[in-house]
Amino acid sequence: MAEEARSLISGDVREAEEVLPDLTDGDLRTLYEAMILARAVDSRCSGLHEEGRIGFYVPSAGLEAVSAGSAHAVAEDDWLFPSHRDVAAFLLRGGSLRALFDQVVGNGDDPAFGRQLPGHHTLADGRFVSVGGPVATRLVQAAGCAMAMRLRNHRRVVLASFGAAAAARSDFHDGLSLAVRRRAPLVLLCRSPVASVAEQPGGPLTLARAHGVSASRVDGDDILAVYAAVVQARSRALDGGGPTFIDACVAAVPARSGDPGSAASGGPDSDADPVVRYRRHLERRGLWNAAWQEELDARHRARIREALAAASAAPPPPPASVFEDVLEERHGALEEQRRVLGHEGSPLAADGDSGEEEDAG
Amino acid sequence: MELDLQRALNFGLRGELERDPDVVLLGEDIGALGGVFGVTRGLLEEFGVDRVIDLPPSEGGIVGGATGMALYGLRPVAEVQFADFVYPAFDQLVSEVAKMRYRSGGQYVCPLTLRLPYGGGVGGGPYHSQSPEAYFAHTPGLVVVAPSSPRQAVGLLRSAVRSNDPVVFLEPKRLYRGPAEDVPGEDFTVTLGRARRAREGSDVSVFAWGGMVGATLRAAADLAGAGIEADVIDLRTLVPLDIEAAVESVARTGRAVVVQEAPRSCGYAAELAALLAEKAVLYLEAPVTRVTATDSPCPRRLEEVHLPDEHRIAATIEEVVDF
Repeated sequence: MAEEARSLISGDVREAEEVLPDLTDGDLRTLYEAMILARAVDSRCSGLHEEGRIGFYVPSAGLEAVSAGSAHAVAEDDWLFPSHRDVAAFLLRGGSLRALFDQVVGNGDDPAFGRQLPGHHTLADGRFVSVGGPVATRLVQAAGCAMAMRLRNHRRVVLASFGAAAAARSDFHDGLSLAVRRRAPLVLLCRSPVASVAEQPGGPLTLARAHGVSASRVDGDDILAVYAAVVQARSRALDGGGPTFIDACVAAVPARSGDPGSAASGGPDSDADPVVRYRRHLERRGLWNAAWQEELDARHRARIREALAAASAAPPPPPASVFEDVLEERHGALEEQRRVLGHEGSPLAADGDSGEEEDAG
Repeated sequence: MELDLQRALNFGLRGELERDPDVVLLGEDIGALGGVFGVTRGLLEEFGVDRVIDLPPSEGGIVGGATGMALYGLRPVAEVQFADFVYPAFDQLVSEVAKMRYRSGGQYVCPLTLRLPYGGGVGGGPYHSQSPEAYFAHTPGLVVVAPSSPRQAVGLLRSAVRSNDPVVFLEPKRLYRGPAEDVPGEDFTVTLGRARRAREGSDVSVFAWGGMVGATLRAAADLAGAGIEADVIDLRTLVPLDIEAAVESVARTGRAVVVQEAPRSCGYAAELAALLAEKAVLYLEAPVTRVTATDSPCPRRLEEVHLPDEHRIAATIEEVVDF
């Protein structure tokens, strides 16, 4: 029998209030806004994929509670090693819609010049570490980063989020092993599909415990439960207790690249939808009404339309950007390749001539 | 100070640990044991467990952990016991470390140094002898360095640790307890990306790096008796390559030999040969010729058949000069 996941959102409102006394009404509404903004952004990005405007997208509809709840639970100076399903966290860490769409479109205003696939964000100002391609490699880095925080005596933690598939990789074990040995201030947040949890009573949670990591299971569709678990894990890490593993069970992990028939296009609309569940909770607390929802929806639609339009109108990445950021300085071989291909500063690019005359003879 | 490579690297690491509190060492048995080759001996006692960090024998963990520390702003120097064991960390190196600056548009960088004892000459067999430089040189985003002597190693190590780029630092293990060399006490560095002329000659250019520079110099000394003067260029840094120095040498000699300890096919020597074919063909009076290991794994016995040595280098130089 699978271990039960802790839930707060659906029960007595007073229980949630008691467990989370620090969350003001403003916080609660901010979280809701972030969730529905993330859902709307995700829906638009999936739409861009369906329209053929981008070739790849990993949807995050249905994962807003995990992403927003965890991001809100950590402090500004904490670091995130996020996944490409952390749209809500990106927004909560200060990422603008314009920056998000610059990256998704891959234009010249994207700091990474459209080098990465859509949804692989970086936000250094938000200590939101660049999302890479491989599964689970970030777990080891997150442990190393947390070790560095301890070495520098910084009272900070690292939050790493990932899907349950990460547990199949050796990096999962490398990361947990490092973090345990060095008592690294690390919060490991795993998204486990409810279905697989029911089928496999073990899985990531069992593996984490085998490493000696304190681990618990929460309802990953319950933003307040996720928030509470991360707050607790963070506090434990700051007290020198080392890493904590949170197995966040989610009803829906959307399929890749926006299959219109999947939950990805609109998110789960059953009672499991984390947005719907949180809305009901807020309604019971008198913090939500239909008029506010309408106002939010309209505002978000307009902001998304505006940001996407601006990102789409921005110039494409300059060809010369291909040769930048490989190493700190552009070395000779790259410089030559840039020159030969005729990009920026080369005789070819300057006047359309072959540029051979100077060297002739 | 007269130091062998092992002691020179120990001296260099100690200096960096003293100079910069952000420098930390990570690796397997680098603490109490002082590293399998003794390079980090005494550093744990001097700098403590927070600066000299022993980790389990998981190379992915060592390199991945160092990557996280580098992202946070530290300057980790990670050791993998033998270059032959770096492959579990290949994903971290190739997919993460090498691409971090590029994929984040420079928002995140990985200033880490990865020390790899590499190469043969010690009877190490298939798993303690490899020269994997080509894998790393083929990956954009990594600096690849291979010192050839104690003095070069100290200067290059300092530059590697202080670089804001990730550096794969290949230490020829055959030299750890090899010839000692005078290493200046002051804080000198060797600029990354610059070759050096290890011996001046006008008849043929011979290019080598790391553990092959010594054998090349011995071959050149032998050939001097036969009237052949070799211009020996120690590349020192494979990425970025000092191609200007290579072409300049070939322009004077008209002949080029490239010595590589790794197996022959698709090695770094092939890259240098291709570059010389592109950039120096008008100077060449003979084919650019390689001296390499055989395209086999390194055998424990018969290592001398597999690896290049001064005799094979000398024979090849003679062939190229006589072409």
